[in-house]
Amino acid sequence: MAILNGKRALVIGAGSGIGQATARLFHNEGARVACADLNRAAAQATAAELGAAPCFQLDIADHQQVHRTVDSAAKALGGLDLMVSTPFGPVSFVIENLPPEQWQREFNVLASGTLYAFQAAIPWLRKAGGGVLLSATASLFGDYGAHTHPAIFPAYSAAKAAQEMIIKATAMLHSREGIRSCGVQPGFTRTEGAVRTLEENGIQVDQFEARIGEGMPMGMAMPEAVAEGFLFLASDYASYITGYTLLVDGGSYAGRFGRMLY
Amino acid sequence: MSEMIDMTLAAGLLEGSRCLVMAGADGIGEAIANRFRSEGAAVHQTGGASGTGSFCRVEDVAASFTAARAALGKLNLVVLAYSQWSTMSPEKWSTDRFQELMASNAAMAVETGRLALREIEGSGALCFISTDWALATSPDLGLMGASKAPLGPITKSLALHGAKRGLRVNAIFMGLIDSPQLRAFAAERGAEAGISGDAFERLVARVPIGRAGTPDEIAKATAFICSPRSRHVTGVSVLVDGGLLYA
Ligand SMILES: NC(=O)c1ccc[n+]([C@@H]2O[C@H](COP(=O)([O-])OP(=O)(O)OC[C@H]3O[C@@H](n4cnc5c(N)ncnc54)[C@H](O)[C@@H]3O)[C@@H](O)[C@H]2O)c1
Repeated sequence: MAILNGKRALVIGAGSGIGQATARLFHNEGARVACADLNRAAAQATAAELGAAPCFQLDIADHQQVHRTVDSAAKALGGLDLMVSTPFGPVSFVIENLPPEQWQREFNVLASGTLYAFQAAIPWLRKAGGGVLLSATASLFGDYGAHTHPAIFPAYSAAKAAQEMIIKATAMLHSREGIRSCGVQPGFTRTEGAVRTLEENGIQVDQFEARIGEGMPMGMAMPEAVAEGFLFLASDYASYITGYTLLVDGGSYAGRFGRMLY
Repeated sequence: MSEMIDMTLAAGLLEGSRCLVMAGADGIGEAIANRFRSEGAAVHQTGGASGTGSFCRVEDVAASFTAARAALGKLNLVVLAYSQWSTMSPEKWSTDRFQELMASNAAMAVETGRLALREIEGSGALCFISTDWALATSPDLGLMGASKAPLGPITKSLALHGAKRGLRVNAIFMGLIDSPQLRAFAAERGAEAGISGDAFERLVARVPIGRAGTPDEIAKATAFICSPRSRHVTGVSVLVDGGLLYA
């Protein structure tokens, strides 16, 4: 029996990278998956691959669009049991000259977007008698609250720390209804978004991988491996896990002290 | 094509694995052994109510590896699910008691790690069972928590050592799991506080998920984390606690 047989899942960010790998894995594990993304063509490509899955274009930072999309997706799937959000957009590298609009955009896509998606999904999960809310945070940029490591993306890191708190607060308030809320903290993962971000800063991904070296004990993650973390938390194997964020980073965090070079 | 996928999945998460489970008296090891078998692993259990041999001293670790090896051949999974339970008010603390707890809960993990690196060739998984009390505690559980706390750095260093060859090492942190030990603790505390009614239900009512966990819920999470479906998960502390610690 497939691990997610009969489950109905919406993946926001399904057009690329970790979200796309998660949509594929959930589909292969028996779930019915709806795909949503800011990039319409990318969402359509993933949806087509999954056999004409329901597909939506949305900006997760827009409260109304999120509610409309979640409602439409749930209607198309005949209800909703699982929701995953993995958006990633342009990031900034400064504090001193960080324009307020850039700060707000990064914060809204990651933190506010997570909140909006959870808000919109909760009534559907409740109607289904329970379910799981999932979101990608970041292992090296926002883990464990107090251990938050600001790295070099200040706005991104702040938003990731906020996401962690949204995940935990949702768990505290809604776990009793059978609505679990969890996150996955990927280590550095070879996705379009990650490769593009490096290239925009004049760094080739292979150079980067070589430089970090031992800092990623099992090497750079592939999106398929990170998607397995979402599969675990979405499944009945994690029935007693809520308010928790799982690191899927091949030991990067375990070895960070004295090893990570940035 | 889709039929082929279904067949692989029907095989269970741990098909073809050979696993040693070292159990204590709290039923967690039993649940793990049962779950691992139902996921397709061949399991040798030492200690616990249904395991072979006794398992409560550090010397029993090497003996367990030898017995499992003889029963199953070369192992690729090892789970240390033994916990020595102890509740003791700080006023009654004794260094003897503390050393006893360290010699079981902590030293057994050290010995298990060392032997697992040698026993498991190439890729595989090692998993320790710890408790939330190693991360945050209540007055009477401090010593037990302290004796489990070393599992954090022990897990991480073994994970770093094994990463290159795909030997993954993780720790599961249990919240309030329904066991005779937890029920006895709840009853004891309930009596001390003069609480009438079901002390256990009162204790677990504050867990965000609203109930105690079952031993199989620890076992399910352990199975997934040990399985090839968690190929990039290593050096991690997995909280299986219904949100008790963080939420
Ligand atoms: N790749 C890594 O190394 C890494 C590490 C840690 C955390 N993460 C996190 O994992 C998640 C996925 O990252 P990825 O590397 O797969 O990125 P990616 O860029 O490859 O994919 C992200 C997808 O999100 C979509 N998206 C962007 N803005 C959106 C918006 N406003 N509304 C809806 N969709 C939007 C994009 O169009 C894209 O399809 C992100 O939350 C990211 O922060 C990634």
